[in-house]
Amino acid sequence: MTTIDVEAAVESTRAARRPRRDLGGPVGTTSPMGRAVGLIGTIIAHAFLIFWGLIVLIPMIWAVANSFKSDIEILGSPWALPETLRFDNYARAWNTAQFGDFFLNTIVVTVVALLATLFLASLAAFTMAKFRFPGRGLIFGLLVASMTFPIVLALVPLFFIMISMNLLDSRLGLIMVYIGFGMPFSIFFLTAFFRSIPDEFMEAARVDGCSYWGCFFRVMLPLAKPGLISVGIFNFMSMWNQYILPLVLISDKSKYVLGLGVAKLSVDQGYRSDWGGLFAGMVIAMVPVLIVYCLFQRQVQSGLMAGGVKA
Amino acid sequence: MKLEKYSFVVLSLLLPMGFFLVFVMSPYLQAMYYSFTDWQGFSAEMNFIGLDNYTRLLHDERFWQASLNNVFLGVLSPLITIGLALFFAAMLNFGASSRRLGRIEGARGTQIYRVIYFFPQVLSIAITAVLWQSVFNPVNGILTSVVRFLGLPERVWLNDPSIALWCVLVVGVWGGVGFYMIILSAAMAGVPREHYEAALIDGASKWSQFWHITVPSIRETILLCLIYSVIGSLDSFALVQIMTVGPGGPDGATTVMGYLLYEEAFMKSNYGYASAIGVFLALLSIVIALGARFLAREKN
Amino acid sequence: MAASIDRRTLLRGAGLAAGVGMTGLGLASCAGAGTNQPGGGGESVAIDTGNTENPFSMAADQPGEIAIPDQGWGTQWLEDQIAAFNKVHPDVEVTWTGHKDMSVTIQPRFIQGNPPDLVMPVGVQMTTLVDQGQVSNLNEFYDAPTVDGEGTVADALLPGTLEAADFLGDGNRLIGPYTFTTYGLWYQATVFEENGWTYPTTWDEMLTLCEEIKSTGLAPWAYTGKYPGYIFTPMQNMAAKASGIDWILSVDNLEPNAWRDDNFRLAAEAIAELRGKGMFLKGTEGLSHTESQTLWAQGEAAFIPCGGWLENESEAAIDPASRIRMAPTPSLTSSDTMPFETLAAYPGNQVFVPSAAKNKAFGMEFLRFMWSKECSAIWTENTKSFTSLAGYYDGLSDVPSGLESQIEAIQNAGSNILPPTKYGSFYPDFGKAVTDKTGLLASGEITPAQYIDQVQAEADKVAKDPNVKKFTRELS
Repeated sequence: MTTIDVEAAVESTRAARRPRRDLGGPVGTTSPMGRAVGLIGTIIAHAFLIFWGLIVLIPMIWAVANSFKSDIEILGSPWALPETLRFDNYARAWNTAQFGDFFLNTIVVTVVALLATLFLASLAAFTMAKFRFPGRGLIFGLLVASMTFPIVLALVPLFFIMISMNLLDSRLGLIMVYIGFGMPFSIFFLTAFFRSIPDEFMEAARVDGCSYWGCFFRVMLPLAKPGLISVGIFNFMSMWNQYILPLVLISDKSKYVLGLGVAKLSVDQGYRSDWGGLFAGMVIAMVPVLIVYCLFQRQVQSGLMAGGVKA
Repeated sequence: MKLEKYSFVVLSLLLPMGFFLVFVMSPYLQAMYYSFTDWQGFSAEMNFIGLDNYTRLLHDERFWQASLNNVFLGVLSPLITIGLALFFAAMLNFGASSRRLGRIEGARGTQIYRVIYFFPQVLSIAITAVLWQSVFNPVNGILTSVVRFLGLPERVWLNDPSIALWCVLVVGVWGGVGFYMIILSAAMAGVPREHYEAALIDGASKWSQFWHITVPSIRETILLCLIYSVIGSLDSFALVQIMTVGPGGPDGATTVMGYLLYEEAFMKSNYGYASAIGVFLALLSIVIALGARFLAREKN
Repeated sequence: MAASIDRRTLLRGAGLAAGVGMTGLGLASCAGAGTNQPGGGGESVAIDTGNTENPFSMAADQPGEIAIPDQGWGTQWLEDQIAAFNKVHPDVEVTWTGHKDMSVTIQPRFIQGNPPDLVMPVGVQMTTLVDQGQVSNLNEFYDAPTVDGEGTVADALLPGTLEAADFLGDGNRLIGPYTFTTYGLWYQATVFEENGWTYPTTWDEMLTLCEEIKSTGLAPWAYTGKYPGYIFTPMQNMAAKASGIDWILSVDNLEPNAWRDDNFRLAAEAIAELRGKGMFLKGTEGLSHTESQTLWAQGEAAFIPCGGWLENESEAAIDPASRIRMAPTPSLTSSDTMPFETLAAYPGNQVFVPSAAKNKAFGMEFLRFMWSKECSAIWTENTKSFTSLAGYYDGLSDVPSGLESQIEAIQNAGSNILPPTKYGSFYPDFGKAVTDKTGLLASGEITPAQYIDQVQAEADKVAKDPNVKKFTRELS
């Protein structure tokens, strides 16, 4: 991601929020013949759209169905409905396979890291946007550079840094790493956002005798709310779904997060088959975030259009 | 006054930059250093061996195979993903009745598609991989049963060296289409109405409008999506590590650089060599990003 | 899966490196690495071979720490063993770590110079540990008396264990291979009796029987295609029984054309023939171990090649009334060097005492204790498999059918025990290549001739590579 991209993206959100005078888009045909063609076109379009919708949904629905089946049923026909709804799969996943713990860990790690990331990134972004100081260009350069590097490159040294800080295999350590990796994109995006807030707001506050901290907390932070929501959504999704960092940094099963737990359960299977439990675990991992997404889908989508890219 | 300003600047940047430097920047820099050593990670003993790891890289068949697989994914995955995303975005915009065209809020029905298409993006990549591993199961996976139902030859998907990488590709596409569709769809909605008016006078068909007006108008967004998608596909680590046989198999057919790095580091304790792989991957990402920026500037 | 290397990962990674329980995925000391002498470092432990009670002069009140991961056996056995240990040494406070991903939990301890006192390295490469001087020399340990007071530890162990303990083949016994795992073909005795089938002792009989099995609609064979090491095991064992143990040494020592051995070719052709004649369960080449074993246990297939752990691992899927049994692979030719009863059985799951451990005497004493009859029985009761202590299983009662068949197989084999190959741990990349190619052979992607050419080419490549440190294996 480059500087230009984010600024363009921020601009596009703001554009999206402006009342739209012009709906745009292709202009439809109006003749009766054209209407018929339009109808056929609409049907074909929906046929394609429904087809892909099914491709997206069927594996997920299948997973939900399997989560109620016995192992023998799962090995049988994939299309058969569960004979009875075996909620015990969920009980096993939640208790025996410790998905309850994973769930809690994921929430704690994500929420704490997310709040800290938003606070720290907006603080830094405010400074980057509103002050000129030596080293500012360098900081920007580092942030940009770090966004082009693949995370896997950092894994090895990170592993040893965590050892030396005694933070390996700890939730706190994971939170701190999430915060670190949340910084570049968040600072970047929010800097562009703060820049778009006119300086007059801050100047007025300064005249009223507000300190810089006061300006930040009382004036800028409230104004940055839309930006924070967009950045928050991105960070939430990327933190909630993180896999590779916990894979390398967490070992104790009681500290697993959901993605890691499902993958471990599937690969290791505890050396025993419990497919019902595995599917139940997947559903436990899948459904809450899908529900949250459905509730906030408008914000997610407009945030997405604003960000243009995952954090 | 100055003092207050500078103390604020320093204090406000201290923690954010601290986290960033300790957990992000310093690992990246250290990785570059490790890549010149033979470190195996059990003692402080670390010998500087110059470019040996890189020389070894050039002679490592698995590395080359992984690079080829990365190229395969890096070319096909963006093309297919963005192609489909563009197609569906167009369908959403063109399929809806004309008056409501292009509204982000969407007409009845189109919003449902947007929500559903985006589902895979909401799932952890690990969940996606485990889910598809079950879909590909050769005995009771849904894919096998569909193939059986259609009377097509049954395959063992992830175990068939000629199609295993395609399976990884399919899952990547499945996960990505919705995400890019939303972005492209928004871009399409942003194309000003006036652009279409000349076309209307010429009586151009919707398809012709799409190809001659819509696509050129949003080509920068398309380019941006392609870049993200290429960089994203460079890191197919989780799909390969969780889903494939071996992992990375059969017989190396799905090994990608990210997985090779992980295996060398965390399974073989070859931390120095693994870091060299990482540095190579990083260079590749930078080249792509810079190349894309260059392309974008050319266009402007 | 942060380096959680289990026996399956082993199988998938490096053929039968599983047998010696090595991680199998390491790269044997690349050029320039590891300058430390193996087995060096740390304080040495004085051993009083006359003292049966406490030969290592372990302090009666100093705590000890064990790191043994759960590899599918659960942890009850270890808790029971610790309880038994504490009956004898009540003031030794024993703690243990059981995480699967040892690299994350244990590696930092080594770096900090504070490792546990007894470690089963899973997900941590044994060759690296040895290379970096993290492993104590146990030569004297093996001369200590057993807890049961019947000779020395060395004398009390099953054939092959001491060879496996000599990790590098240089006379230094560095590890304690705690378990003894049998390998063979599993079948369900009840199904066989109902159909009037008998277990085939030659490959010809196997083929005839497979035709008959197939005619009943049952799949003759299932195997774990996802980890092709599972199907390599019977090939290797049939070839070794036909050509003799020397063949195993020849492949380990990278002798020219070792893989072109006639009997190995026959074994490869045998597997290809099963594929060609449609003897495999449909889709089995894509199944994981749990999947293939469950389908087999449900009666979808007659045979499945697997190690002795199957009965424990697939317990939930197995109907006790089916009376599962394991038997050695059939004789490949009528002129096999070794008899049909010859059993592939490998000492594995090694533990070691870190050279920097604080309480080495505890590490050794606990290992000695683990090799007592009492602790071995605890192990078997909990895991339905064996420790490498000889003979203790003779007196076990109430054993399930699979374990019973394994005991019979060990007894019938006598001294005809096939050792594991070691090329997979000497040259892990080569081991992985063999496994990968075997997967292609078994799924019919390549012919036996291509398979042998490719494997031999990989072997030659290793042999010629001056950067790969070479090992030589001899059997005493």
